[in-house]
Amino acid sequence: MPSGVRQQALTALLPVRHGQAPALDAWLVAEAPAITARLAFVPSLHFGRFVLLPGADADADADASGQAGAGMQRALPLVALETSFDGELATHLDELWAAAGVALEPLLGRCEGWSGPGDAAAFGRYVRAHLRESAAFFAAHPGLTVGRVQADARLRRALGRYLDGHRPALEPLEPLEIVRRAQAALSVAAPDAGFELVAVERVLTGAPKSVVRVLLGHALSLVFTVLLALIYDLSDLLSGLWRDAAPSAPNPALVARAGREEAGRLVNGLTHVAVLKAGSFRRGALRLALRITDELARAASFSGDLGGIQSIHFARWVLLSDGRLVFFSNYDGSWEAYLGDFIERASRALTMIWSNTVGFPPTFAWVLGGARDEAGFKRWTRARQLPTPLWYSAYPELSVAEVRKNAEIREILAREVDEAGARRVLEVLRD
Amino acid sequence: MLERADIQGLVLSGYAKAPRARCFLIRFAGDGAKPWLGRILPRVTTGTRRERGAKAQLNVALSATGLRALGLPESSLVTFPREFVQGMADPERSLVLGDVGSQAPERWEFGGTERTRVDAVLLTYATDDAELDELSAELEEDFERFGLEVSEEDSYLPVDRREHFGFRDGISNVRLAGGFRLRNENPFDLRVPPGEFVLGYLNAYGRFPESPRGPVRQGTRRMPRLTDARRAMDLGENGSFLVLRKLAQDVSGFRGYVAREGSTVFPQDPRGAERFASLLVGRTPDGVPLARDPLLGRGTSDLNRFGYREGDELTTRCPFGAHVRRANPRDGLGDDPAESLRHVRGHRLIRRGRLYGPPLAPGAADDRQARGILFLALCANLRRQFEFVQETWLNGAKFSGLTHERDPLVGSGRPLESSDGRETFSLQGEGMRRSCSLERFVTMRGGAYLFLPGLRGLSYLAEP
Repeated sequence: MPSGVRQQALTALLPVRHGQAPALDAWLVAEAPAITARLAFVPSLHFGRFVLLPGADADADADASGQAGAGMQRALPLVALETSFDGELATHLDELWAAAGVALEPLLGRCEGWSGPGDAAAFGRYVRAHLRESAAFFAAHPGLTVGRVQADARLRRALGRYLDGHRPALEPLEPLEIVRRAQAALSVAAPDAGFELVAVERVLTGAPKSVVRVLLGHALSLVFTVLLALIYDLSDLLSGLWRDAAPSAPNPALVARAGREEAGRLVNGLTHVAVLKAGSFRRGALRLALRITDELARAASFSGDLGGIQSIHFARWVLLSDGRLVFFSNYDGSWEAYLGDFIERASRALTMIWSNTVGFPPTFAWVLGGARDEAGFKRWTRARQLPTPLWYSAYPELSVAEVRKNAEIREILAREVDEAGARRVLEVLRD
Repeated sequence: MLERADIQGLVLSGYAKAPRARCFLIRFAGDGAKPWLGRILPRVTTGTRRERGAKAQLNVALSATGLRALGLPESSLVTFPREFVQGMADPERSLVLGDVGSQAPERWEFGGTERTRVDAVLLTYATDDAELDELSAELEEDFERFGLEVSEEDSYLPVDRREHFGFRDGISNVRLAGGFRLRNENPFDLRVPPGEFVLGYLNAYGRFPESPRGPVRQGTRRMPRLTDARRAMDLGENGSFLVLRKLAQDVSGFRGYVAREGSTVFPQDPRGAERFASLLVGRTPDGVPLARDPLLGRGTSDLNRFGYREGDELTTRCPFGAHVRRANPRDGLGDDPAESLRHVRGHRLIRRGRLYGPPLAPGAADDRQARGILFLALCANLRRQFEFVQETWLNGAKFSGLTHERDPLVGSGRPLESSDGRETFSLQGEGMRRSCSLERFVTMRGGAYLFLPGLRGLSYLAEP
């Protein structure tokens, strides 16, 4: 059995040279098609993006209640290089450079500390110097490499074509016999058809753990935080008596850009930047929320189901030292459907995280309210979302469910097929 | 309690007693828009029981360009939903809606280009053609007087309630929450809170829908209520968003296709064409849901009382991609039927569509007459309701475990790499799935996103 490969998250935050941010933004828009075409030659790359995180005055992020952002320091413009990849970082960086390095020179040239023209080694050193760990990371199909995901999709199509082509002969047969014949035919075709009938060891990011167990592990901190949050709510309530709450308004130009990027895609990327509220309570509460989310996310990779949402390929939260909380995700379907899932299925967990950031819809006791406010939450998310013109997926037409089911078909066909396995293959293959 | 006297009648009634309809597509020119609106204002049918049961009805809706022509400032237009302001023919909306290729706005009869712009839609309903003509004659005088450019689209409610492909339509329509709770509630089609369709009421999330604002104005008529600390007026209250789509149907093409495909799938059955067509729809021509167990369902007269989990767990009867299943998945999404029903409740539409063009008699040759559906749907949130249903359910390639199929009747969109260059419709059963080749017989011919204001909202817009 070939051993599985670990999937990892790379987030590098490259500081943009003074005054270069607008030019960089224009470059990302203009060069996106050329760069994404090159990224297709990075064998280890599942999803990737280069996205400009504009700089901001902490004061400009003060929310309606007058609470400033963390404001520890002024937020500087950064380019985030964000990828979800297979295997070792060193190999991944080498592959990135080989495929797109020279084309990336104009981008790197606008970042501080890059002296081009560079080479693979310089690129590796430069990226490593600016790495930032994910505070929470989720992967829905762990252990499956890019090549495997793509080959499994070819396998599924080949299976469908085999069934279509041999319908008269197969139709009278029992499921077990149908699938055995398909298995025999496909294993003959396999080497040349771009897929393999092999079982692959699954490499998971963590141990399966129930939500209850994760929460129990943090029981004391949770209770403490909820109680503190109640005190904060009370003080907010009192201060709210003489302040007019104005919701954060999305910038129409940025919303239009994001809307155009997303429209009609089957798989999409979301880049979102929130700003931590001032005070050590908020920082502590956010840290705790992210730790719990990370544990839940690692456990959830077993089922591909993050808090009831089964449409996320990869997601991560990254907390910057300047108090910005960046959320990167790659999801199936439309933004509207994705946000709907957030609101209907994961509002508590998301409120636990984002209630500690500026402008979030009103919450109660840390985890209540917030993301339940449909319109307010969607408006806030749009207001905090960044255009992501340079976004890449190695399988832009495959959903999470499909990737997992394709792998399941392969796993069944890789072994001696039994009755249950045969029925499962036919059930999973719905079209 | 709904403020029925301020809500336009179409929201609360399909005007079943007035089977004839004429829809005037209006393009404002010159400065006649405001006085014209003021003139028809007293004739607008409201949602009070007496009025909407009358013999002739009239409702009026406006597009974003129409609101602009009526002098609504940009500061107010930006408070309308983004997709409404963009309009249905905007390139981004086209990608979302699948209006590409043969369905693209450039090819529409109306609403697709500046030349065929729709500023307002006047919907009129009457019991027969004579009455409709009488009503139209009066209205047309005004069109001329106020210099409006107008075209007409006639439609009707068929006596047998069947649409052109021969299937009973309009069986599942929304029931509003509130009012008396029946002892025998339908567990597979939850009642929907009024705020899903009318602005100013609580919606499925227990919130008030976002409502557009206008600058405060004094008027001779009753104006909308003040809001935002008396700095603005609530233009949205008692209003709805209205989706208009003209969908042409090639009936003889459809019949030929289901006959060919039906004889392949059911070679022994003389009624194979009808059986195959029923699989595409998810109901028989009489409206009996395929998902319902024929034994358990016998004697159940309510054609809307069925689920996809109860009775059709293995989906040997109703395909996952069948039209009615995509349009209203009921309890069938995901793993939890109750959660599916709750989720579906946030994506419902009130449908008020009617047919246009004469029916094609069974067995008749193609008469090349234009026919189809003048689709009308009401909702409070275009993005979450109409567009979601269109994008995620009807055109959703990944709907319910499928991977590259779209709705067999109305689906459209850019071709998928994984579909190998041909469209399919799959039948699932106990053994292997059967993938049938699919052809298209419905074409988008025109459309618009409109706002159907409450009566006070209309008064506000008509105020000079």
